[in-house]
Amino acid sequence: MDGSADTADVLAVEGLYAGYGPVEVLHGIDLTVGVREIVVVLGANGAGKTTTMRAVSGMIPRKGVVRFAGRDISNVSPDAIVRAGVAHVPQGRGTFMDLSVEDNLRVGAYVRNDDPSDDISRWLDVFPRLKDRRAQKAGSLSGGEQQMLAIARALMSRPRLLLCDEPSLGLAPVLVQEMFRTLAELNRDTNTAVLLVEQNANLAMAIAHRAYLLETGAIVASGDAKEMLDDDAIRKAYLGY
Amino acid sequence: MKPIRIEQGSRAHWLLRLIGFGTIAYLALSPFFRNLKANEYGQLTDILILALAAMSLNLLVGYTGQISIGQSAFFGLGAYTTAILMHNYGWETQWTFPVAVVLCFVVGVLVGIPALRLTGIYLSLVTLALAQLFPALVRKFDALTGGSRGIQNLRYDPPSWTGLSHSTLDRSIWLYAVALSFTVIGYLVVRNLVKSRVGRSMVAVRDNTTAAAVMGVNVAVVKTVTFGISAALAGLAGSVFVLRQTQANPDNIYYTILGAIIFLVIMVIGGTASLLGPIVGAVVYYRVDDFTRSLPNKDWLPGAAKDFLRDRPNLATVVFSALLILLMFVAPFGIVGLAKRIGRRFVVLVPRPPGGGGGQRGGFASEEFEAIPATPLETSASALPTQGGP
Amino acid sequence: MKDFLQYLFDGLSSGAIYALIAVSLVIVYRGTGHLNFAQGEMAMISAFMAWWLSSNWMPIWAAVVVSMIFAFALGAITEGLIIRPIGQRSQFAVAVAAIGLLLGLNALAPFAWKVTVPQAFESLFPKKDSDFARIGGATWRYEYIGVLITLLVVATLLFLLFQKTKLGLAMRAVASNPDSAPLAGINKGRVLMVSWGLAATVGAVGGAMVASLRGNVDPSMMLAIFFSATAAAMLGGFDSLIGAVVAGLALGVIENMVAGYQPDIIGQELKGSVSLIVILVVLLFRPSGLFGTRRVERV
Repeated sequence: MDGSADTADVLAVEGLYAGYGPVEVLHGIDLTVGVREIVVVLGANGAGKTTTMRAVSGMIPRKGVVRFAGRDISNVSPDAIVRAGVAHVPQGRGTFMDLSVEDNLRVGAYVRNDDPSDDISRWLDVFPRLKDRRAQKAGSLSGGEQQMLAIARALMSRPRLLLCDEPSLGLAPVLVQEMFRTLAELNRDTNTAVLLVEQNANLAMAIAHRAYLLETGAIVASGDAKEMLDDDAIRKAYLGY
Repeated sequence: MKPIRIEQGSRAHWLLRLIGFGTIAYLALSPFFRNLKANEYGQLTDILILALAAMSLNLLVGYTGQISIGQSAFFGLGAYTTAILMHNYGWETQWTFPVAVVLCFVVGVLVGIPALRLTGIYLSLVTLALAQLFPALVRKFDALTGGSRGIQNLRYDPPSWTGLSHSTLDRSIWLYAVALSFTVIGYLVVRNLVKSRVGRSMVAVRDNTTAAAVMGVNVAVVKTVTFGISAALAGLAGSVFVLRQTQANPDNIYYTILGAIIFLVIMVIGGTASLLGPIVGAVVYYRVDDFTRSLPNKDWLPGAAKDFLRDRPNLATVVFSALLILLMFVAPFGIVGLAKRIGRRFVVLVPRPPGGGGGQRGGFASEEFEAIPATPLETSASALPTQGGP
Repeated sequence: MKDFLQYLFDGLSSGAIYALIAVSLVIVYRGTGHLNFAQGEMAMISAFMAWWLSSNWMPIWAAVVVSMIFAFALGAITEGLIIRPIGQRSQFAVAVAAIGLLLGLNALAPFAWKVTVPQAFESLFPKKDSDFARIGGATWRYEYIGVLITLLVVATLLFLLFQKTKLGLAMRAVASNPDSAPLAGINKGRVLMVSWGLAATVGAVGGAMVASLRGNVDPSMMLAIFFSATAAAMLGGFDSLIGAVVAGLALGVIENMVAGYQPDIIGQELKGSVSLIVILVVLLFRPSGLFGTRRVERV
């Protein structure tokens, strides 16, 4: 690794403004994700969590500075951002319904120039339920399986940063637990930083290193995840207990 | 500069309507008082024929939300009905018109019935099939239609009560009068359909059959009848056309799919979301067509261009196709749509505030600035965020 | 039996042409969701291009290959410059633009090459009167066999492209979920252009086949074929390549059989009506076609 200060942060966002047409949703937010960190962005519906994800991965026009591993990606197209090493698991999972499970994974490896077969086998081993269904059309998978597939697909590109937009949405609690456990393991084993947005985030906070609170387009609190869990006010407001 | 606001039903509004009506009446009736040549009456007749055909298409598109490229089949059916009745059975011309209308209506309804089931592109495909089929059918039943040779010598002499002679000039004046009457009838039919309660509800539910069922609109019946009426109007235009041509021939472009596309071009150029659009479109089409035909011979054209254009067919069509595509970028609502947009910077019609007497709608001029059932062009574009402006 | 085989052989060759154009339509539909009304005319212009090149500079097969490259460029540019920008405003406008393209290309051929009569096109296959095989008493002309083989080669190449290559995977991904594809690093715009380009290329092959069988190029030569090809694509379910091939061949055979066994009622002039009936029947009873994926309407 080169010793420059910038590699301390995989993602550095400064003064990010973004929105849809005339409606501005993010009013200048700052956040960082360090190497090998899991960072959670909490917020209620409409706070701007998905918008944040989309702005980082270049899907929507944005103002401000977005730096990935020291490189300015503020004006880079989505597919180039992926090639740089960012993988985005969108809300709703973005599954390629008509393609087989295996082809979905292959698509995930699109930006790579080598043969992805080894990685495909690897991820199918990590997610045995997917392995059973490798030749089936992805549209026939259950919600939980599609979520696993979406994460595996994103990891096929060997990203340094994984963006997960509400991965627990629509999943049964048991599956949510399993998924977050898997994310934590992946983070430990593969040197992939994770930026996670969640609405209802008991479990997300449990695996995170740091967290941000997003309220109507602005960051209102940030810090160590465990400390924030201990903070009564935050717990009551966002975690419901 | 803020636009002038005019209340609907106010005196200013009536004045505007009067001016509009007067202008149109002048344009329509003045040819009778100016001493035009026979072929000039003929040109005006051609414009009216195209306008009527485009009007019929506009009605269909407005209610079904899909493109039809099959009006040429009904156009041809009306034309051949008139030709066959006159030539094979010696009918007097005026009696062929109602037959053509009824026949086309019936066939239109028959086409409309299966068409009810269709969504998206499928209606277009069926209409394409019709357009393809018509010339083939004409050629097939050659005993009736004269096949590829066609039917010749169709002559429409003015009836004696008009005081016109059987000269070429008087015949052309009479045909113009007939075309004008039919166009006005067509306009009124379409307008009243559009303004009726049924018409309005059709537009509201056009794209959503579930909502229609819930609202109790019998979409099926209305769609079918619309097909019929649209076909009838196209057939009427065809009847006048065949008389103008004085012959029927299956190779004529307007009986083929290319003719159906030309009607579409006219409708789009004029503007789909308006009752007057087809008329404006017909005028523009005719004039541009005329212009491009005579272009290679114009003196002011540089020699190089002249050499290039010499003996090159289809300049007009190439120009129109390019124009059509360009219009989709620049002015998808056609000339009338563009004019409306510009006009709204100066004059805006506002609804009468409640309590100001009965909301008497109707009248003539205001409807020019009110949309015919918003066609898919208008509805989808209005879903886009507008950048300020009216 | 001899008649049956004859109609079968003849039908397979016209069916092969329907299949080629139907495949083009399906590639565009799957790739970008539009029906390219101008597909037939693009094929026609490509055939004219091949005719022009072969009249002046090259042997016919080389000319056809160059016309395929021309077609690719034509398709890609049309998608990028015309279809996509207009498509962002309204789907209706795209259909109108495609129809405008139909009219324009149809008029452009005589305009650009200053021709008003059909122009002789050299055959791609052996075409002498004696070039046929005798099977079961019926004659199967070598050129008809050639067209069929061409279809099978094209279909196989396409299958390999879509299933075994990265580009094919990208095209399938964009077709399946166009919003998700950029997240995997796929350049959506480029893929869309390639879809149209590829479709036009396949269409050019079809156009060349038509010109070769007819012995000439003529601006109106693809109009009826486009219609039958659309019927075939519908029959096969608009999103299935295999369906397009099978349906195209079937339609060609059925048309020929019907016209052959009922020459008085149908005959050559009304062969197209068979396609019309096919369309109506499919739409009434099975809107998703024979092979297509069923879509359930949720109220």
